[in-house]
Order: sequence, then C-alpha cells, then structure tokens
Amino acid sequence: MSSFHRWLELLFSRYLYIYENNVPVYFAGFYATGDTLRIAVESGVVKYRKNGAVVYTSTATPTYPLLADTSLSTAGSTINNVVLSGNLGSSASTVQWLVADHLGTPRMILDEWGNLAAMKRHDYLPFGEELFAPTGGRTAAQGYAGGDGIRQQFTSKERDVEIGLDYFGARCYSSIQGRFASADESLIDQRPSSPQSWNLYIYAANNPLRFTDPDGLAHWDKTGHFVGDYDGEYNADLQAVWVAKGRYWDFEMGRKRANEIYLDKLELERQRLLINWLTWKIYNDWLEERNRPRPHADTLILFGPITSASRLLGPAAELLQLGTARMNLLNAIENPALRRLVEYSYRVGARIGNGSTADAIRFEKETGVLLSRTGHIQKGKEVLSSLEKLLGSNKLNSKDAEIARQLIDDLKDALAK
Amino acid sequence: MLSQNSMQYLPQLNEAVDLLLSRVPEFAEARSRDASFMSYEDDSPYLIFGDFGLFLREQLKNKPRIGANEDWLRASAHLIDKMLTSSDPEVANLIQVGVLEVLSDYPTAINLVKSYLSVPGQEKFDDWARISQVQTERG
Repeated sequence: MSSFHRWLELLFSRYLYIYENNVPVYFAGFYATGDTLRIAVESGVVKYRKNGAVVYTSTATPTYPLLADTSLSTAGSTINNVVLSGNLGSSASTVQWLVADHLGTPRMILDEWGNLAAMKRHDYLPFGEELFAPTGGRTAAQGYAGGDGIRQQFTSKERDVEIGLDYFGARCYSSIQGRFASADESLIDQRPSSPQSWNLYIYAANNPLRFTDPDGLAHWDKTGHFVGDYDGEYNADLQAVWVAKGRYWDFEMGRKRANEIYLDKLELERQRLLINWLTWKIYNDWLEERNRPRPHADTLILFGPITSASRLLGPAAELLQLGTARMNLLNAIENPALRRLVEYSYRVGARIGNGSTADAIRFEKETGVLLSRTGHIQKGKEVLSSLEKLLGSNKLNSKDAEIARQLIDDLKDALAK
Repeated sequence: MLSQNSMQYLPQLNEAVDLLLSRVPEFAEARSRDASFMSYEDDSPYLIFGDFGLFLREQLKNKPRIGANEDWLRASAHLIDKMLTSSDPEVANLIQVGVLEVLSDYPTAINLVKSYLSVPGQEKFDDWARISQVQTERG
C-alpha cells in the first residue's frame, strides 16, 4: 500500500472534509445533493474540486498508484460521485470517451465528464478520407476543429500524419486513394467471377461501408467476423465453407471439402506420374523403332509407329510422324519411276507405322485386322516385284539403288513375317 | 451422284484392268506415254491401279468439282463406284488399296470422288474410310 492515502469524507450532516493519511487537512464546506466531487492530479499536484471548482490543493507530492477513497455517511451517495482524472505524471492528461460508428471509427470524442459541449467530432468519406470544417457546413464550434490528438481514426486504425497512410497491420492504407499502398498476396482469393478481386490493392472488396479490413489481409463484416466473399467459398485456413444465406462458416462442409482437395491432389499426382510414364514410353518406342533395321536408315530419319501414347500428345505429334518418311524419301530420290513407287507405297494420312505398305502388312499380319477389304499383301508383292525389276535395270544411281535395296529388304521382311 | 440403275454389272478381277484402260482411255494414253509409270506389264493390277490413283490424284487435288467437259473423270468415278460395290472382295480391295488410299492424301480429291458415288458406293466408301481411318468431309 502506498504511504499516501487521499480520501474524501462526507459525514455529519453533509459536512465535507478532506483527509490525507487519515488526517483531516481541510474543511470544504457542505455537500448538497447533485454536487460533483473530484480528485485530480493536475500538473503533478493533487487538487480537490467540487463542481469543478478547486476547493483544496494538496501540499504533498503524490505517489502512485494514487489511492483515493470516499467515506460516505449520507444515504444515496456513491463512489460514482468521485471522479479521478488529471495527470498522473508530469504533463497534462485526460480521460476521453470515444464513441464509434458501426465500422469502429471514432466519430464523437467526449471528455471525462461526457459533456456534449466539449465534444470533438470526426467525419469521414466512405474510404476513410477525413472531412474537416468547413466542409459541408461543418464548423469548429460543432467539434470539427481537429487537433484533438486522437490516434484511433478510420476503423480505429492509427494514421501517420506525416505520410498520410493508415497502419493496417500487414499493409498501409491510403484513405485518399481508397487503396492499400502495397499489393495483397496474389492467387489466394482472386476469382474469375469477381473482377474486383483481381485488384490486389483493393480495400474491403470496394465496399467500405459494409466491410472493414482489421489486419490488411481480408475484409470482415461489421459484426467483427471474417466473412466469405461468395456462397460456397472454401477457406483453407479455417477449413470451412462460407454459407452466404446464413452468413456463417460451415466447418462440417469444410472438412469434406478439405478431404476432396486432398483427393484431388492425389489425382493430380497420379496424372503427373502417368504423364511421366507416357513420356518415357513414347521415347522408348521411338528409340526402339529408330534402332530397328530399316531401309535407307543411313540416309533418312524415320519415325516410329503411332502409338496410343503418342496420340495423347495431340495432333502435332502425329503430324510430325505422318508423312515424314515419304517426304524424306522423295527428297532423296532422283529416279522418277522410283519416286512413283515410293509415292504409291507411302501414305501421308496413314495411321499405321510410318505409312508404308510394309508397315501396313506387318500390322495386318500381327493383329489380324485388315486395313482394306483383303489387305495389302498383294500390293506389297507387286511393289516388291517392280522394285526388283527397277533395281535390275541399272537405271538407278548409287543412292537410289541403295534406297531401292532397303525398300526391297523392308518389304521382304514384312511379307516374310 | 450415280444412280443405282446406271450400274449394269459388277466387274471381276480378271477384267478390271481391261475395264480401266477401255473406260478411261486418257489414263491408258498417259501410261503409254510416261515411262515413269510403275506398271510395265498388264499382269500387275495393283501397280496399274496405283498408277491410276496417282494419275487421278494429280488431276483432282486442286479441283473443287468436275467440269462439264471432263467426261473421263466422270467415267473414272463411275468405274470406282462399280469396283467398290463389286461382289468380288479382291476387286473392291484393288480400288481401295490402289486408288482410294492414294487419293486420301488429298481431301479435295477424295471428297470429290465420293460425291460422284452411288448410295451403295458411298456406303462401301464409308466402310473403307472407317477401317482405314481416312478423314473425309463426312467424318
């Protein structure tokens, strides 16, 4: 307990005595119903006031905590009749009451007495820019003078008067612009259906009369609850789903959604592994096909058969393979008869192998599926015969002859299987 | 499109080459004139019809429709229709492998030929296109 005890005693037919350390130091007259008594530390000195007027100034230096008490002998007197205020340190200080609007913005500032006459007032535009006198008929006499030193301003955030920004925790906010001074974290709550959400500098979903942003991260409703932006929104932090109609977060649905998201991730991982496998398989097929002994392998690049896997890569991959063999051959051949045989033996639009008759025959033999009414064997035999005659005619240059020999080998290989 | 009544008979394999050379003399003339043709002898029907397919392809690949003075092309389409609907599978195979596969590299050519086929001919054509995975205007 502090060594100083300061108290006000009301006793004996409403006599008003001032006691300090249980010693009466001053008789302050009489106490009437409705009188307001107050102990105040003002400029480091304890003063006793009755109805605002100083009745006694203590000569003792106050110590803290300052202990004050009343001793009431009159029925109906309460401790509320004593008001503590004043400077507990060396400079002046007062209690002020802040009356806020639905957004938490202090709009009326009352002194410790609640006097309307001394009220200070603050008005703001929707996005927080403050309106001072004489804007819109506001006057200093109405309390719009400013300079009251109240730190809590728009939505109770502190405003840095030097840079004109409000401190919202994660970010600073410019009330003049109605935008945050830095961007929100991207790809968190942006939605294609809500273009407003694409703006990372936006404040309270551009709806500042309905929402606030307590921490610079997300907008909350006026009841002080974090709200969803749309019905069915899933919040990963809460693991809950927003029910717009009831305006509440459904945690049961949230758990289900979290489970679905987990399963979706598993599915994505499965698909990723499948794509890896398909990529490997396509490459492996291509490698195997490339290494298979083929005609004109030393001068031409031939691609492997079109597989179901390669079709997953889309038409570009197919087009890459289709027609390439014939094109390469035709570019390399000089003899017109040999060119004509290749044109006849290789199809651009074929879906089997490299489009050659030899690959069509192989396919038909291996699968039993005929690609025409009775298949390609007879065609292959006649082309083979024609190639052999052409090769034996000595009309081919060495390069064409080599190509013809390899085409013959390829057809013989296909027909022999 | 050919009417079904215009199909008087369906050719057999041993008469297919003669039929081709007689019905489309323009091809026969080109074949005798150009040494690069594959078919040295008349006993290689797949080579002869392959030459016919290449000959047709060259003529049709840039033509959206057959002109009024190109009767030989109509005769060619008529022959294809008859062979495609032949009861002899080898005859149908000959036209599929020898001609249609060659034409199928050029959608304009293959679709033009198809448009001149009879209803049964178009059905046979679609069967072949499905098996051979040829992309036509229909499918």
